Amino acid sequence: MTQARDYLVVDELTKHFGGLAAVEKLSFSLDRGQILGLIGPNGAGKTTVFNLITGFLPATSGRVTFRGESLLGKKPHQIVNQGLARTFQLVKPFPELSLFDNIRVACYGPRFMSQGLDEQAARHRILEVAEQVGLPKDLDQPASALGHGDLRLLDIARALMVQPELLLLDEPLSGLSSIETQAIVKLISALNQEGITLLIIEHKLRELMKVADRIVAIDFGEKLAAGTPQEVVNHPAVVEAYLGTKDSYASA
Amino acid sequence: MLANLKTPAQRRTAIFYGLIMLGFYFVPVFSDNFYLLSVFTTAYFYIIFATSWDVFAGYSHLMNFGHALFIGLAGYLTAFVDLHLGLPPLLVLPMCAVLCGLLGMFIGYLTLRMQGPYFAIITMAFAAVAYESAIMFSEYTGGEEGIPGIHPLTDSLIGDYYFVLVIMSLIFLFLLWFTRGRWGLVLKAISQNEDSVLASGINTAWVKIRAYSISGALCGIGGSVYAYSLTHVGPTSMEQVLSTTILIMAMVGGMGTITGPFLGALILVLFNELSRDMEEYRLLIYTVMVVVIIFFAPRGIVSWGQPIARAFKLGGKRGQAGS
Amino acid sequence: MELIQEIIIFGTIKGCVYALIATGFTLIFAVAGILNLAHGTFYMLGAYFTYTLFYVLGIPLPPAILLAAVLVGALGMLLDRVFLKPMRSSHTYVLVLTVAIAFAAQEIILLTYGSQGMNIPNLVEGSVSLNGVVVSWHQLLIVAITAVVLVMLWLVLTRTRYGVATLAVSMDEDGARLVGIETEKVFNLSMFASAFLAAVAGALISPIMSMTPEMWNMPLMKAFVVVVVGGIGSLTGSIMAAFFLGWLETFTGFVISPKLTEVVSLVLLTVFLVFRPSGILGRRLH
Repeated sequence: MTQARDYLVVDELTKHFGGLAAVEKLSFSLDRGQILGLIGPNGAGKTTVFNLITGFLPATSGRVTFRGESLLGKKPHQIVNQGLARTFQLVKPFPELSLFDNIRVACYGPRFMSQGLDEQAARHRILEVAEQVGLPKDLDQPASALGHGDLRLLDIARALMVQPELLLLDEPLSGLSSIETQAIVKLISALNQEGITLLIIEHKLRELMKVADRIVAIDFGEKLAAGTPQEVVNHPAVVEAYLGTKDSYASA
Repeated sequence: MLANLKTPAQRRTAIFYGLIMLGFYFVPVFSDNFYLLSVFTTAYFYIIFATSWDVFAGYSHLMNFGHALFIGLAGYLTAFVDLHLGLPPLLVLPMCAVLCGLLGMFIGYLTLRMQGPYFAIITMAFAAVAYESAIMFSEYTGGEEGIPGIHPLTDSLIGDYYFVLVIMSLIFLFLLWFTRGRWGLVLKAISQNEDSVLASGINTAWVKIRAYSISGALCGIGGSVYAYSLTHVGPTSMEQVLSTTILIMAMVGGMGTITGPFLGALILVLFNELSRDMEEYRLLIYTVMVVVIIFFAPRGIVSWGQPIARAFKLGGKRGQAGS
Repeated sequence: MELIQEIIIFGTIKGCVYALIATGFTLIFAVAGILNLAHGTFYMLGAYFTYTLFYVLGIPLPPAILLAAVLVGALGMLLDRVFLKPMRSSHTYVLVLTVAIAFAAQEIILLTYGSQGMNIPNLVEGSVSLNGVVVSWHQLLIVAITAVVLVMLWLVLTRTRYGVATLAVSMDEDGARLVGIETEKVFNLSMFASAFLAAVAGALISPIMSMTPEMWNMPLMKAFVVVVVGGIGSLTGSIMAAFFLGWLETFTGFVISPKLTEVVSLVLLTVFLVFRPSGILGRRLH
C-alpha cells in the first residue's frame, strides 16, 4: 500500500562537505508503525542523515518526504511541527532549569499549543509524560542533577510532548547501564505500541535487533544493506564494514 | 499574573518589591527636596534601562554592550519632534517605542547567528557608529553639544517625578509579566541549549528577535522620557560608558530576573549619590565594589535573597530551580 | 605621488601599533576563548609604567619600556590567575569582569596621575626624509621594533615548547590536555605575552599621542575591528587586517576627511560582522 510504505521516504539523499561526501545517494523508506534501525560504524554518516532529515543541516541534493510532504529546505522547528521529533547523540538538556521546566518548554511550540490545553491540563500532560518515560519523581530538581541515563529519558520526554508521529532517536542506549538500557528498550516498544513510528540509530546491535522490524546499514554515507535484522547483520558488506576483511585483519 | 504567585518564595518577592514601589510613590509626601527627588528619578531611569536590557540580554545570555543606542536614538527623535513638530509627550513616547522596537528587530535579525563574543562586539559597534555619527552630522544633531531646549514634561518637579515613576512602574510590571510567562522560560532555555528548543518546534529566531525588539522599545520609551527630563540630548546619551554602566547594574543585581536589574540599578545609583563626599575615591570604590560583587556573586545580588530569607527565617522552602 | 607615499608610510606605522595590539588580543582569545575587555588597559599601563620608570625612577627609556612591558605582562598573568581562572567557562562573566576591571584601572590611573595628557620623549630624536616624506626616527623605530617583536613571537610559537603547546591548545583544549599539555600554564603565559605586546604598543605610541586615563578605549575598539576583519583566532589574519586598517584610516584621513577616520574602523567592523563574520582567514590560530 503506497501510503504505509511511503511514510518516510529518503531518496538519493546526498551531503557533501567541500570535497568530502558524508552521505552519498542514500535511499530508504519507512513504513508507518515500523521501527527502522540505522546502523553503521563510527563516522558512517548516521547522525548526518538525521540532521539532514530534521533540518539541522542543508542537503546537497536528493529528496526526503514525510507523508508525501517534502522536508528538505525546511527549518528544524517547521519539521517538528509536521510531526517529526528527534533526540540527539549527545544529551541536550537545559541544565539550570528544573526537570518540569525542561519538559514544559515544549509546551510552547505550536504543535502542542494547537491542542488548546489550559494550564492545568498541560501540567497534567507533563506529569504523564514524565511518568511514562520513567523520570525520577522529583521534577523540581535541576537537570544538572541528573545522571546520563535520566538525561536521555528527559530528552525523550521532551520529544514526546510534541506528539510526534515519527520519532528519531540518535543512539538512545549509548552510555547506559544494562538496567537503564532495558528500560529504554521497553519504552521504545511501548511507544511503538501506541502508534509511534521510530527510526533509531544505535550501536548496541543486540538490543536494537530486539525491537527493530527492519534495518538499514550504511558506511561512508552509502547504503550497504537493508532488510530484516538477521539479513543485514549477516550481510558480508556489513560484516566487513564493522570488522574489516580477513586480509586487513592480517596486516593490522 | 497574581495566579502565578504560587510559592511562598514568590509571594515574598512580590511583597518585597511591592513595598519598595509603594515607598517610591510616597517619597514626595515626606520631602520636596529637589536633590532627593532627582536622585530617585535618576534611579528610575536606570531601572528602566537596566530592566529593558535584561529582558533580552539577561535571559538569552547574549551580552548587549550597546544598549545606550536606544536611549540616544529615542532622545534625538524626541528632540526633533518636540522642537520642530511640537507634538506632546504622549505621542512622542509611542513613536520612540516603535522606532526603537523596529531597530531592535533589525539588529536582532542581523545578529541571529552570532555567538557571544561577536554579538558583544557588534552591539558595541552599532552604538559607537551612532555616537560618532551624532558628533559628525553636527548640523542636524548639534554635534558634541547636542540639542538643548526640549520642553519639560510637566511644570512641576513633583509632576516630573511621578511621570517618570509611573512610566517606570508600567515598564517594570510589564517586564515581570512578560518574563514570568512563556517567553522568559523559552529565552532561558535558548541560552542553555538552543537545539533542544528548536527540536521542540519553537522558532528560536523569532523569539530572540521579539525579545530584542521589546528590549529596544522599552528602552526607547525610557530614553525619550530621559531626554525630556534633562531637556537636552547629546552624544553622551549614547556613549559606551552608559551602555556598560547599564550592563553592570543588571549584572550586579542579577541578570535574567528583571528584579535583579531593578535592585542593581537602584543600589548603584544610590551608592553613587551617597558617596559624593568621598570625592575622588568615589568612582574607584564604586568600580572596585562592582568587581568584588561580580566576582563573589556571579548571579548578582538577588541570589543572596534566599540565603538572607533563610537567615531571617522568613519561610519558604529552599530555592526552586529555574523559578 | 607624494600623497601615496605618505599614506603608505604613515599607514604602515599605524598598522604596526594596531598589529601589536591585535596580536595580543587574538592570542588570548584563540587560546583561552576569552574576549579580554581589559586588553586596552594593558596598553594604557604600558604607557604609564614607562612614564613612571623613566621620569620618577630615572631609568633610561629603552630599558624602561622593556621593564614596563614585563611588569604589565606579569600583571596580566596575575589578573588571569586571580580573576579569570574561576570563571573561564562563562564568557558572560569574563566580559563583564574584564570591563569592570578596565574601569577600575582607569579610576586608579586617574587618581594616581591626574587627567592631564602626558608624554614620554621619543626613543630617538630627530627625523629623516624618505623620498620627500618627513618621518621621525621614533616612528621608524616603531616599525622596526614591531617587526622584531612579531618575528620573535612567530619564532616562539613555532620553535619553542610553549609555542607549540599554545598552538595545540588554541586548536583543541581538551585534546591538548589529553596529551599532557598543562593548559593552565599555557593560559598564563599567553596572558603574559598578550599583555606584554599591548604594553609595548602603548609605550611606543606615547611620545606621539598623549596618555590619558581613557586611552584604553581606543585600542579595544581597534582590536575588535582587526580581529573580526582578520578572522577571530587567526594571528596572520590579525596582522594583515591591522595593516589594512592602518592604511585605510590613513587614506581616509588624508584623502576624504580627518573627521571620518574613527568611523571608518566602525563601518568596516559592522560590514564584516554582518556579511563575513569569519573574517578573511577564519577561525584557527595560525
